Order: sequence, then C-alpha cells, then structure tokens
Amino acid sequence: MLLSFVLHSLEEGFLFAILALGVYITFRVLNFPDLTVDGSYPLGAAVAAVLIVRGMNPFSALLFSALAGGLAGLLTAFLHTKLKITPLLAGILTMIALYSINLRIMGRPNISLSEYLGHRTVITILREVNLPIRSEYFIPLIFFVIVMVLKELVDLFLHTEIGLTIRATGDNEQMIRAEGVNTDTAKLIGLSLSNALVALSGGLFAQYQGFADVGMGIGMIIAGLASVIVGQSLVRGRTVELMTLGAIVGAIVYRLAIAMALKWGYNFGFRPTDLKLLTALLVITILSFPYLRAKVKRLEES
Amino acid sequence: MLKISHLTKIFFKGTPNENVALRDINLEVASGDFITIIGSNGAGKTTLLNLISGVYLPDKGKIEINGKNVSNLPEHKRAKFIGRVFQDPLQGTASSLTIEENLAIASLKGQKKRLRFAVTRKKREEFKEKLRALGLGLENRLQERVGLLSGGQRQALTILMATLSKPDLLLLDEHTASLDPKTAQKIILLTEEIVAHHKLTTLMVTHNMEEALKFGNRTIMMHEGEIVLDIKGEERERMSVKDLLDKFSEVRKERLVEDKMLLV
Repeated sequence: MLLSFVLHSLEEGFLFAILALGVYITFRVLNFPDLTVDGSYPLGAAVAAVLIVRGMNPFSALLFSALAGGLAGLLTAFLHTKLKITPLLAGILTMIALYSINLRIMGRPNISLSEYLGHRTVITILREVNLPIRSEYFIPLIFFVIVMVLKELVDLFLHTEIGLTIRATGDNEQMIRAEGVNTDTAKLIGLSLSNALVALSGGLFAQYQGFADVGMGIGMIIAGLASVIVGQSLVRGRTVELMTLGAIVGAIVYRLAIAMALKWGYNFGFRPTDLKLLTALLVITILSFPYLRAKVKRLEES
Repeated sequence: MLKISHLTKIFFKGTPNENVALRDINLEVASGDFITIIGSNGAGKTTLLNLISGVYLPDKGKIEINGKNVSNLPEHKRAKFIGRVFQDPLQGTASSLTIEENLAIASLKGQKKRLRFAVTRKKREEFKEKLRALGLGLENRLQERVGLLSGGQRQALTILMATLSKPDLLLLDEHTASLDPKTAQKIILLTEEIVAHHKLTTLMVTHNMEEALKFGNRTIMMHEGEIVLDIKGEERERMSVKDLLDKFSEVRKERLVEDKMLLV
C-alpha cells in the first residue's frame, strides 16, 4: 500500500520534473518570469488527447504537444521582444489566449483517454510490454529514464554556443549585446524550448491520468516554481548540471509533499480542493523564509 | 577609420526635461589613434561612446566605421567592429558563467552561434595562454564562475574579452574609475600593453587628467555636448596637467567646483 503510494508519487514527480526543467530555463536561466506555463501545459495535454482520440500513436502525439508548446513560447517571446510588452504581461496574455485555443482544440472542456473507450496511451502501451519486472515498477523506471535523458539534453544544450548566449542573456543583457548577440533571438529560443518541455509534460500527464482538462493548467507555474526553489535549497551548487538536477529533485519532493497532504491531510480537515491554496502557502513560505529568518536573527541580537 | 559627422543626440526631446547631450559633433579618428577623452560630468562623453556602439541611435548625424555607415545598425550588429569596457566591472562579464564560458562568448563575437560545444579543448588552451599573459593567475581558474572574481580581475578579463577578436575600435569608458588606485594602475598599464600589441584604434574616457595626457596620442575635451579642445603631437606633449586644467576653467569660464576634476 505504502509502496504503491510512493511509486505513484514518483511517477507524478517525474512527469512534473519535465515541467520543472522548462520552468528552470525561463526563471533561472533566462531570468524571465514566464506565466505562459499555465496555458502551455494544458495545451500539450489538449493536443495529445485530440491526436490520440483521432488514432495517432501516443508517442508521436507527444511530439506535437511539444511542438505546440514551443509555438506558445514563441508567441510570448514575440510579444515581449518585438512588441515590447513586459515579460509578466506577455506571459499572461498568451496564457489567457491559450485558454480559448485549448477549448477550440479539444472542442469541449474535457477529453477522456480511458482505455475502456479503446484509447491507447503511452501508459497502456508500456503496460503491454512483456518484461520480467512488473509494470508498476517498469513505468516509473521508464519515466525516470525519460526525465534523465531530457535533463542531459538540456545540460548539453546549455553548454553549446547557442545555449551560452541564452544563459548570458539572462545574466547580463548589456554585456551579451556588446558581444554581438541578438538578445531577442536568445529569448525566442529559450522561451520556446521551455514551453515545449512544459507542453510535453502536460501531454504525458494527460495520458497518465487518462484525460485532458482545460483547467489542468491552473497554478502549474507555481508548482513548477515551487519545484525549482525547493530543488535549489536541496541541491546546492550553481552549475547547470546541479541546477537541473535540483529542479528534478524539487519536483519529486514537491509532488511527494502534495501526495502526502492529499492522503493524510483529511485528518487535519484538509480537502483535495485545498490543493492550490496549499501550494501557494508552500511557495510563500519558501520564498519568505530567508527574509524572515534574517529578521528573527536581527531581533534576537538586539 | 572612424568618422563622425554632425552627430546630435537629444534626450527627452520635446519635454521640459529636454537635454541636448551631443551637439553637432564632428570627429575623425585615424587608424591606430589612441584618443583620451576628458570633460566634466554631463559633457556627453559616455553618450558619445554609446552612440558609436549603438546603444542609442542618433537624432542627427552619421557614424562611419571603415567607410561603412553604421548610424542605424543595431548594437549587436556593430559589436563585431567594436570592443567595449565599462566603468562598472560587473557590466562587462556574465557573473554566473565561468571564466572560460565568458571568453568563449567573446571569441565568437560577430560569428554565427551554432549548436556545438562552446568551450572546446583547443579553445581552452588558447584561453589559458591569453590569461597567463595577464599575470593574475586566472589561467588556473578557467572553470570558476566570474562572480567569484574581484573587480580588478573582472576588469582585466573584460579587457581581454573586448580585444580577443581584435576589434577595429576599442571603447573604454572610465574603465578604471571604480577600482582601487593600485589595481587601477595595473589595469591601465595592461590596457596600454594590449592596445599597443594589437595596434588598436582606441577611445578612452577618463577623469584622470594625468592619465589623459600620459596615454595615447591625442586628447579631446568635451563640454556640454561639444568638443572644445582637440590636441595632439607637439602641442599635446607640451601640455601639462595644469595647462589642461586652465584650459578647462577657461572653457567653463568659472572656477572648478567639481572635486572629481581636481583629482590628478
């Protein structure tokens, strides 16, 4: 019972880790608070769900999820770099536009991918694989491998010439322009890559939970941010490799904490609908902790 | 090699805060010139450098580099001709990137960025050699983040980065002003050495009158957006710091009130 609880939390944690990698790229690398995530996550889910229902291979459907997410990121970057809209607002505008677009794509607010309706998802395909180990171990293992491969790709990318210009753009825009880099291009690439990862995460999660819902993106940016911040306090170090690792660890820990709250929280009067509230409180606590600690210290000393 | 004609820049045009930062500037810089630029705060020195490098676009006038009109070229497209070092040591480098990553960016200046590793073994050797020449021991710290370096070390690194691709034009904006005197001395000597070695055409803004006369082959003085003095050759050699200050007072027709100008 407990084992299956942990395994399920891990599965969800790995799926969230993909989103956290995306959020890491915008928030930490590009220093761009990108709220597109709340729209691109359900966008990935919507695209995957519609394509699967129409009979596409669920793995290929994920590619289109990522592609759609990349386009959403491009739109936000375009609003910011070419139309000079502030980062926060550019992200919110794309997000709100995507709400309608997602409804258009799905044709209704919710699409079921249940196997009872005959739909094949990544999960059903993985369950059918004949292996000496049981599918309940095999699936989290595959998720883990997917996450680690993506992490490795992100790490490698951030060490390429293009990757370096993206990192420098987030660090010191003036310097990198003086070095002859078009910072607009760097932001376009960074934002589309980030949202491609987010949408991939959404597409996978829809298949995992067996449905896509237009509201499934609400608060995802905070969840991603929480993962990145929690990870940063658990995995210390400023290299790209350690920071992406931190995002993954953070996502898993965050997901585990949420799962525990859902499982045992009712003892304290907690309801599943309080989830977003809990997430907000968690992020507020983490963000304010360093300041409050310093303040308490000052008070103690005086 | 650099030709500036009728360059004018007005900030907050058409508002009560309208400020003419540059007024019909004409300047011709020969290849290999090392020009020092002096002038009080608000004289337009930094604005001039910013216009040359494309941070702002001019309201009027033309800027040509090697016969090419760059007046309306965006900053990142001019960068391949121009190396820059700023007053603030934090400005010229990316602090979350390592020393070798910063150098890699500088080495790719003006080139198309590709999807291949930025720091190769070959490049690393090349960087090591260049860093060794600085004599700061940075060649053993290639993989450290630049944020861990001191202001002087960062400024030395910035100079190396700015000159790595041998730019046509080197712009130095009071690049020693925020360093302690000893480090400033080191950096200015390093600058001179690198400029001489690559025979770089250089514009250096400074508040230090002694430096202004000691380094380079030509000195210009700016005041309220205009070039009020332009000396070179014999005339410049005969000029002392006191003469320069006198000239300066003459231009301002008032006593020097600014402490910074008296620092020699």
